[in-house]
Amino acid sequence: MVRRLAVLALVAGAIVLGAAGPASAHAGGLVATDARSRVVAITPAIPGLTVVAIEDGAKLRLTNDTGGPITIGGIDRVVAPGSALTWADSRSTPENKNIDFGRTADWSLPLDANGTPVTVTGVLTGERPPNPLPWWGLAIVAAVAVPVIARRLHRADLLLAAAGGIAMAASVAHVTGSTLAVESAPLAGTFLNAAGINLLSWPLLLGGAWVALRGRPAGLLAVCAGAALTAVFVFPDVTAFHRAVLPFAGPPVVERVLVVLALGLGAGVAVAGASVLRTLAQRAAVAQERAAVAQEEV
Amino acid sequence: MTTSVERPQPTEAAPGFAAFTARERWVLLVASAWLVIGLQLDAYAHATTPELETFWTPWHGVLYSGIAASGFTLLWIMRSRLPAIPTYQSLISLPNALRIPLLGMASLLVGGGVDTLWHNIFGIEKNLEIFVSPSHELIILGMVLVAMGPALMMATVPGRTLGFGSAWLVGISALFSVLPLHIYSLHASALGFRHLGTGVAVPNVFSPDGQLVHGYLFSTVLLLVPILMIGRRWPLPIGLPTALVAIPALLMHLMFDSEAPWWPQLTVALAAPVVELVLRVANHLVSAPVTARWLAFGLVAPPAVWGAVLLVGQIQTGTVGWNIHMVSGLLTLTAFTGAATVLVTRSIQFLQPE
Repeated sequence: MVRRLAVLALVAGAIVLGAAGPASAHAGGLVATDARSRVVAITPAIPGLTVVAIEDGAKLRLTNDTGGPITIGGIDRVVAPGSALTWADSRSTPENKNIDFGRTADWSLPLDANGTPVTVTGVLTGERPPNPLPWWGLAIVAAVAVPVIARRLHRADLLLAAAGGIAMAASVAHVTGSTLAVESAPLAGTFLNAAGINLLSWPLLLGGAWVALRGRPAGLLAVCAGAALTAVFVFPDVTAFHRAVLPFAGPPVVERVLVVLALGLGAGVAVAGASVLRTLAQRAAVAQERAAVAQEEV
Repeated sequence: MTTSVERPQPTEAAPGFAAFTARERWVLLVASAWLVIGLQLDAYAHATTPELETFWTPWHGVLYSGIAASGFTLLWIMRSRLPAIPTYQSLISLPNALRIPLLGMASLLVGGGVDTLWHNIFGIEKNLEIFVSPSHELIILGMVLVAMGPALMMATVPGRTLGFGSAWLVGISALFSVLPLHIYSLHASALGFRHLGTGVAVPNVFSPDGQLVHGYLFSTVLLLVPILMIGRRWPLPIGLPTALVAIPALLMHLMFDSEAPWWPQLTVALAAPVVELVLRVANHLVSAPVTARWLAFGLVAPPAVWGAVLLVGQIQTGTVGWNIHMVSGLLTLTAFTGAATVLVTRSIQFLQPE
């Protein structure tokens, strides 16, 4: 067992240590915002110089094919000829900026292209945020429905395994979509970074469900633990219910549904686990007692 | 209401639970050390590379893999101590030596989730904000409780003697339990950036000088508590108190102030064995009740160690930065703080059933 643990830990460590990519509140350091940012113009136009906004404007990418160095004003970074730089610039990013729906805000940043002053201008455009109440309502309904239905089922363990599996699938899809939204970092490292402690919760859910479905109720405790962790670690992404522009490779509504499922079902399974496990233990005790009585009668 | 504990009884493993094996204790020690070393590496990296906030690093990797290693280890230890059909009640009924690190793991994981939400909504903390962030506090609490596990498991072993290997285990466990607290009290620590007064003739009440006074007091408490907790349960192995003072001091300097001269932390590291030797000799020569001897330890050790730091500071820099009022008052206050820490720590009682 110790050897297996050591191998598991070493593998986990090696995977995590071998990865590289940005990390922050979300995959690639991206967060949900209320606006998109784009580059409008580069004045004067310099042949070989391109600046584009990527990841809905969270970052800028400057490509320097001008033959000379380019200095970015304000952060004083120098981009050598023939190279490119991707960075998050506080002047252009929508993060931490309140821009109402339909409103715009201009931004600019100065460059020095081998002695020539250049200005990059862009615009932030506010988008319509969703009404958060229905999404919160759905998450709460999912969280309440699992324990309520579990009370009415004889095989509530199957319900918890299924709900836990759906929560895990939603969590995996959410992490994958968040990873694919990142253009500025390697895929594998970004996925690991986005998964985070889910790397602990997914095996718990999967392994626990497998063990429980093979007739060993102890696996259900692992399902409940994994579900609780899934809910805890998707909770930061409830910002998806409140903000318009989501760091997700797909329609925002899909991301919100995934968060509802992972959060609601995860919390529901964790809550329902208390009574389901208690009932299973009581049934086992009664069955054991009956078997003992039958044995005595024989 | 508490009463003085002369000789606390060793805690027993809860009835019906298998005793913790040496293998379980050591595996958890390695996992929790991995976790805390990850925190230290991360703290060091952030302290020396401010722009690190936007880049994923190997230090985060060590930290997160340490969380996973600790989590899986606790699951492994817990598994054989749960009934065939475990319930939430059976989790709560686990012995304290396992329940406390499990609570720590829960705090760590919840803290991690809250921390991400916090960053999503309010942005990333900087400077002093890092040390007072609620989510960070949950994470640090979790680390401390997980790292305590091996020592708590050792405490369930009957008997009052601590063998060589067990002393190492308890010492390392205590060290990794208290290190996160030293790191997260950097804003009020005598093991951090500052050790001497500012040189202002009459320091203001609310000032860097005032902050440093409290740093000395807080570090006094943090350095004493692990020694006292171990001393409540077993006779203190020779050299363990020195290690529990010297190693945090040297590590703190290495992490946060390695560009500055080493004399403050080296002084602490050298004063600790001298004080330990003197007190051990005195312990053999003087006949006094055990609580009186511990009280004397609390009164003498802190001003002796901190006094040495101020003396070497005077020699190294030509000034302590404070006048006689401040120096004498500070050393007196550290003595009182040491004595109070002894009285409180040695008077903690086990919860009794009502």
